[in-house]
Amino acid sequence: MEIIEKIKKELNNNPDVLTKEIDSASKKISLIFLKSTIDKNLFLQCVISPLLEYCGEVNFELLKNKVLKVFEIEEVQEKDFITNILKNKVLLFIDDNEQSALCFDFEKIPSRVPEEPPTSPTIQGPRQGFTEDIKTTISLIRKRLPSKNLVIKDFFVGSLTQTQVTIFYLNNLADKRVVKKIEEKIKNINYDGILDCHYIASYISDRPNSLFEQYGSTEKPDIVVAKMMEGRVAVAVDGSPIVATFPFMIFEDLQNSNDYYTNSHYSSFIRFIRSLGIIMSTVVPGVYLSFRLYHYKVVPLTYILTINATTQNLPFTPFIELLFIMILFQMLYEVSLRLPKYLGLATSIVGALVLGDTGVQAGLISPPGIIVVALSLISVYTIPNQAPQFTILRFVFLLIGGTLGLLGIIGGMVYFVNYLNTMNQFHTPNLAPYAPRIKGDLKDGIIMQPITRMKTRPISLPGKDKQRGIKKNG
Amino acid sequence: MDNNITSRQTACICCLSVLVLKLVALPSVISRLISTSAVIVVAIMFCIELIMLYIFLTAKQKYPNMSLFELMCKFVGKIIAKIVYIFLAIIFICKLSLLLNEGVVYIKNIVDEDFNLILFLFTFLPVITALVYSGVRSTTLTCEFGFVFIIIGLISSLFLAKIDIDFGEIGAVFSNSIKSILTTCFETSFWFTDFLFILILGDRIKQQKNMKKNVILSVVAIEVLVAIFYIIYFRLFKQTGYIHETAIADITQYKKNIGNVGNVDIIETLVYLFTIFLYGSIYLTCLCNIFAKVTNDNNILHSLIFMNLLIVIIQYFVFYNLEIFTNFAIQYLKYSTILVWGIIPIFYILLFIFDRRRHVKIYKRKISSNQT
Repeated sequence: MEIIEKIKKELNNNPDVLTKEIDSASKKISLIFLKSTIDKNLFLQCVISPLLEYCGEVNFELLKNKVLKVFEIEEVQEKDFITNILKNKVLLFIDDNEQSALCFDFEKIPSRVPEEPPTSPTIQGPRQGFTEDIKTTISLIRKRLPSKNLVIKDFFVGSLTQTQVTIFYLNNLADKRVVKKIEEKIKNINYDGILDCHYIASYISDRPNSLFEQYGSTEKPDIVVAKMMEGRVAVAVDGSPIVATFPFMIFEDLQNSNDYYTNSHYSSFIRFIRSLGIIMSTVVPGVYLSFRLYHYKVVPLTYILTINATTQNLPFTPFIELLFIMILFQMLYEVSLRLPKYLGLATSIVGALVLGDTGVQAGLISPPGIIVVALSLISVYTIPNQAPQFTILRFVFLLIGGTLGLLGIIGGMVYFVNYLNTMNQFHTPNLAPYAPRIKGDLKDGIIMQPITRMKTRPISLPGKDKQRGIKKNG
Repeated sequence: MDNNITSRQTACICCLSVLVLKLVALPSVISRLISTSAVIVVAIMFCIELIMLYIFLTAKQKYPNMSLFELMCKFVGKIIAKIVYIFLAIIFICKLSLLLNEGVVYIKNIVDEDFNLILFLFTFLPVITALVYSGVRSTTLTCEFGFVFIIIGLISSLFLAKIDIDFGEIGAVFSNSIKSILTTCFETSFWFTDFLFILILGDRIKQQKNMKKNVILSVVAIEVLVAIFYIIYFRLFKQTGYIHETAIADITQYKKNIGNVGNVDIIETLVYLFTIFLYGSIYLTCLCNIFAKVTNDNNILHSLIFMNLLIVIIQYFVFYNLEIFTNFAIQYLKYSTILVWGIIPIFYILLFIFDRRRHVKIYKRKISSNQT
């Protein structure tokens, strides 16, 4: 058929573009598809065999209704032929009609099974995580939220990739303005390829150049469902196991799914530790440096003597020493991420023992410096979602502490808190429930109340129904 | 996001304004002027402050959506309004200058001997400028966020100081004459003319239920805390109080300093430094607002550049150390009280009396224009 040749030519005569011709009693039937992306067994069973066995009259209606054992079939026109093949669909032609074809899906893309995500393991609670396949994402959310109010909308974004982007929300809870704004922003994306959720989230965010992230991200369906039940909108991208949620507040990162599956007193304590972790991960090296350089009066005499004894005869200034250790630790971290697991372990041993211990013995770096940097590096992982931002802030505060001292560090902290306050996306204050203080939302703040007392949804989020559960009359 | 200040934020800023200029140099100034009856001076001034706060908040309630400038323009004319605002600008600049001088003295005495005014200006001004540039809402949100930490820090710092106070000879506080007490009140009045931001940013403060009550109660609580701090200070240092220029640090480190180097109470240091940054931004916001009203130039960049230059010039050439400023305040700035505690409240009271009918009309008109 001429059209088959035309399609193959448009697809560069690639070897995985396969055609199959079947001579039925009256007409010739042609099939064209990408052999690398279809489920061959199913295809043979549901399409090829029925067609070979069929001896009657051939037209689209009969094939659709009586012959093909396919769940979903649509008739497409010439302009959509290429698009559908590239979406891993099969096209069926009849020899007297080259302007239209039957189109159906036998996609089989290699994907992994849902397993515990490496970024958010849980001690108690659900362990299932999303995979790169968006169908799995949809089914995992559907399974946990069998509600008639669940809305799922698909968009295809990227001039080259035509990636499926799906938004989820509960239409009785999510704010219409938020949904509309997200939809508009997704529709207006003009980019060649969407490869991960971060691409879409960056386009949706008001300030994509901001240091701090403006969307919640998770790999776990239970978290996404919990956030949707608070009135948020979730955005999933085909090919990414991460789902972004909007609107976002910075305190969401202090919350962990474990908190809701364990004792609330313990959760409150852990949240307090996480808050301390934020401060320690960002300002501790800067504060230590400022104390060593300018504010030695602040440090008790005995401790000054200890520090002095360990830092004597170092070849570097305190600033260069700390910068050196921080860069070294950051390099080790990057190496341990990129290398295979068994090599990563070896690198950690080399880093910790050889570089750290030998560095101290050789008089290149001091033990207090290593302790301070290590402490700061460890504490950043109390809030893993914000680790990249806090790593940058750690260097910024080191620079400020080394030049302007404690006053500069306090000034920097005030500046960054104010900066967070300027990021009010989707009518949601970023530092709520603390700035502005929203009394009703404090129950899920640092001091967490038990689930039984969380009877209302966050007031800081825009949305309609704030009462959890079914409203009683009166 | 609306650009209004909530009643809770108003309360936070009012409480910060009570704290910001009273914890460092003021106790030593009062102690120098009147050693034994210092507590009475503080008590009187706090009472007057509360009355002023009540008047300012009542005016805010009666004329919502109107700042002092708009009210004065309406009732006494634009020229007088501008003159009053220029005087208020002078008061704000002086308060900011006092804040800067106290900050320098504090850091120099407590954490860094080599610290100087230039380094302070270099650190302080960019931060408060950035805060003001980001808008009133984010600045007040930052104040609200920081306020909880400041109060917890201050209370824990005083609590952890574990000071044994001698309450013997308590009757000595009444030893000074009434005249000398009132003279000291007048001379130190500049330190107590707080809550001026309500006059300037009154139109941005959201009219909320129980606002007046909540703000006044919060301020009373903070004033009690500050009063306790003053009692501790005056009972601890007695006649030698005037030599302790950094009161809060001298109290919290009173025990630790004996026979020991270091051991600065870092909580109190952090609390104080946070407070000056937060309140510095409120002063600068008010100054920029005044600049906009007086010059009719609403470009925030123009007002920020002008105010920054003015502050640097004044700080560097006029009030370059705390002693110069303190003497100037005692000698001349006490007259600023005539405006803040005299003319403006009288203007408001006269408005309350003679404008009962009109203000209702204005209020209704404002509401209806907002609705349209």
